[in-house]
Amino acid sequence: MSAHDPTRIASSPVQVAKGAVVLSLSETHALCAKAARGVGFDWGHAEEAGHAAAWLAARTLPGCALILRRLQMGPDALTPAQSVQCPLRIGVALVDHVNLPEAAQDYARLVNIALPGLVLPFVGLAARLRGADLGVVANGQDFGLHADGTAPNFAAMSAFCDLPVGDIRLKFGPRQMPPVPQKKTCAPLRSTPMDIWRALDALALRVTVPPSDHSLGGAGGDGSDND
Amino acid sequence: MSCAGLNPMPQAASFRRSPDEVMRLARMGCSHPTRLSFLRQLLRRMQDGSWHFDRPVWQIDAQGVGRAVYRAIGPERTYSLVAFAHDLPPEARSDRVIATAWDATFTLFDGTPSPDDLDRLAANVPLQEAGRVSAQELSLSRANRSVRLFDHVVERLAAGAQPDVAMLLETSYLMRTTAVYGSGKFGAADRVAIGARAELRAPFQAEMLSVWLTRAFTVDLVEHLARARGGTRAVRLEPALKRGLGVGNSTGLGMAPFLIRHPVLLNNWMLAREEALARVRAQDSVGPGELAGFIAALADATENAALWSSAHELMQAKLVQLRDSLDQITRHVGQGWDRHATQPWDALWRWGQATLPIEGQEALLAAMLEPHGDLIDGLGDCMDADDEGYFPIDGTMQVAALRAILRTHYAWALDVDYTARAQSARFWYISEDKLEPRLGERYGEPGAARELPLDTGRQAAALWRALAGLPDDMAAAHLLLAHPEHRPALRRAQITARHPYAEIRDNLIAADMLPIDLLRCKLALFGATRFDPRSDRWVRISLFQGAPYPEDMGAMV
Repeated sequence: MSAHDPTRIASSPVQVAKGAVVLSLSETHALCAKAARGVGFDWGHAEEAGHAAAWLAARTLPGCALILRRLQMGPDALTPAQSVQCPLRIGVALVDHVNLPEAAQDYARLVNIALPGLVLPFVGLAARLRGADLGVVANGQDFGLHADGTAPNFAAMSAFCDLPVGDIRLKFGPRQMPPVPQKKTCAPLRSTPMDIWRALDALALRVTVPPSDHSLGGAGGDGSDND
Repeated sequence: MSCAGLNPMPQAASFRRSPDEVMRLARMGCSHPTRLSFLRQLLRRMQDGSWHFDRPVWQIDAQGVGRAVYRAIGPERTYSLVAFAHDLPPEARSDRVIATAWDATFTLFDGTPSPDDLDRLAANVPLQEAGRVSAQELSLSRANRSVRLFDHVVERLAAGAQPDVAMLLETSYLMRTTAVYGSGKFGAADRVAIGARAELRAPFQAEMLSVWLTRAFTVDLVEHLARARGGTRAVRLEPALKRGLGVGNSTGLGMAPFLIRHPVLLNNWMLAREEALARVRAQDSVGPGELAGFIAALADATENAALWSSAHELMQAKLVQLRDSLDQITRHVGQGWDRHATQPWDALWRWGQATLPIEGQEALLAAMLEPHGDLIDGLGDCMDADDEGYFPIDGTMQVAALRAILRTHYAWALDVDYTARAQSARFWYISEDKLEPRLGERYGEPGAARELPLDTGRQAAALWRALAGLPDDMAAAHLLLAHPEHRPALRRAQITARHPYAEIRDNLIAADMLPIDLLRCKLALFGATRFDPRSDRWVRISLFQGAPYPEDMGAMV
């Protein structure tokens, strides 16, 4: 450490407590979106993956861990032709279709979903867009995702996030008018294990560009910063 | 806009400029700060709320190394700037984001930090990106000295003299920040956790507060060093000279994509400013107070333009236009402007549009807003945004409606030949070394395969082509099942249909696109002055120059 090292007034080196890091929601979103793009999802679905991870993290559910497990399968591992379905693609399609006439019925079934906990953010979004509380039957339990953005049954959702494959039955309640104001969720965030963070970061780095002579030459201002 | 339903002046709508006029880079790159700028909102709120300030910690040694805490105590909450001052050798001083050491580092703490908090922060804040902060911190920033001026001021004050006025005017800051991070960066509090607080609801208020307190720290530091060096001979900086100092800021491309990634926020910022201009133009008369305020604002702008210098050729040309325009406006206001016309402010504006270059028009806008606080300051409440609320796509929208949106809001993009090298010369990407946005040359360097989706015009044109031949009543949800690659463009189109100022209406990957135009727009919204490009993608600016200090706002406790 040089005599001029500005960190010398620090009382201790940076430690990451117990091999884990508390990521902010915006960090979770950005990390998972870039990682999803890094494994080959198109940007649209990569953004949805980031959104889903942050939705789960805001509710102290393991968003990063679930996204990593999905990404480790590869983007095309779970196609519509296969028996087990991709939770991101099914979730996105659910939200996109939720107000179409063909989805006007009050019930929906999502069957054989890989890592079904990853569908929960989209189910929550569907409730909001439909303007209706959603009853969810999954993993032998009933729980609700409400039109105002709340999801009170943490234990049931948490158990659902542990499943490798699962089915979900959805029952929409009556549409609520006028549109339901959203309640923000900002509970204290849980930490993410460093190995999960490192694995996602390695995938996220795939969307970055290493420095080149050209990029280094064009950065910064002309002239010295010692003025 | 979140409070459009509360608009008390519906008659102003017909005076609003169109997005096709406002959202062009050539005009955005001539933006001037206004009274709606974020730092002005911060100062007004603190003044109106009788905030007071103190400095409970000052542990800085004779070499200028140590820590300090500045508190801003509001009616409901307290925020503390925690500052760490370092001894940086000249060879380590760099403003670029790749730097690893700085003259001073800072964080804005939510509340009053305990000694344990300070120790935790001392272990992390000086490391900046290599450290971690927590949800108790709202910002993370660093600053470098303007060496020549800093040393000069210390030397003079130590000798019992005031610094050279010309030198102060030339540089105008003792330190310049080289990055100010907020909103969840490096573990800091997310926007969602603090955005509901009245004092932080407007954009970037935590970051602005951090920079404003940093300004006080820079002056305290030179006075401290002068006392350490000169003992009883040392004097303090004269208030008038002190007031003329701001905090510099040195910034590159990193902040540019923010405007593209937050379309609803950009809309609300621009719409608030445009609504403000429209309200002023809609006035039936010019009150004596407004006239005096306007003339004073013109005089201030003229003085500022005289002191504003730049070594960059493009900016020099703009400054010539600005000074000439301000002279023309002043002459016209004194001799040609019919203040008794039906809508005199509108008459003045129309004269400006017909007479002045864009640089002058935008300066006129800022001056016209200045004396109309009662009319427009409330619009500051409409400048935040719930990006989250607009994330979902409306899958029921039909292809016919999508086509109409693209024709209305993306005409500028649809007929561009993006296969021509000049129209696709650039690509935006994330750098591996600092995870920062950068702009590459598509045909001159590697990396285009990892392009960010910031090529908004090209994507809109691709969506337009994909719609060709599809049935009018086809739902967007069905289109996206077959063509998921159009998801980002379709989302932007749906947002822009409801937020017409959301989209920058220029090709952001064209060879002639100037990133500094994006930077000037965003920095003017912050309230920055003395925009001084150091290249086509790197600028220095000044913040809070001429603004009060904490002791001017309330008694130091």
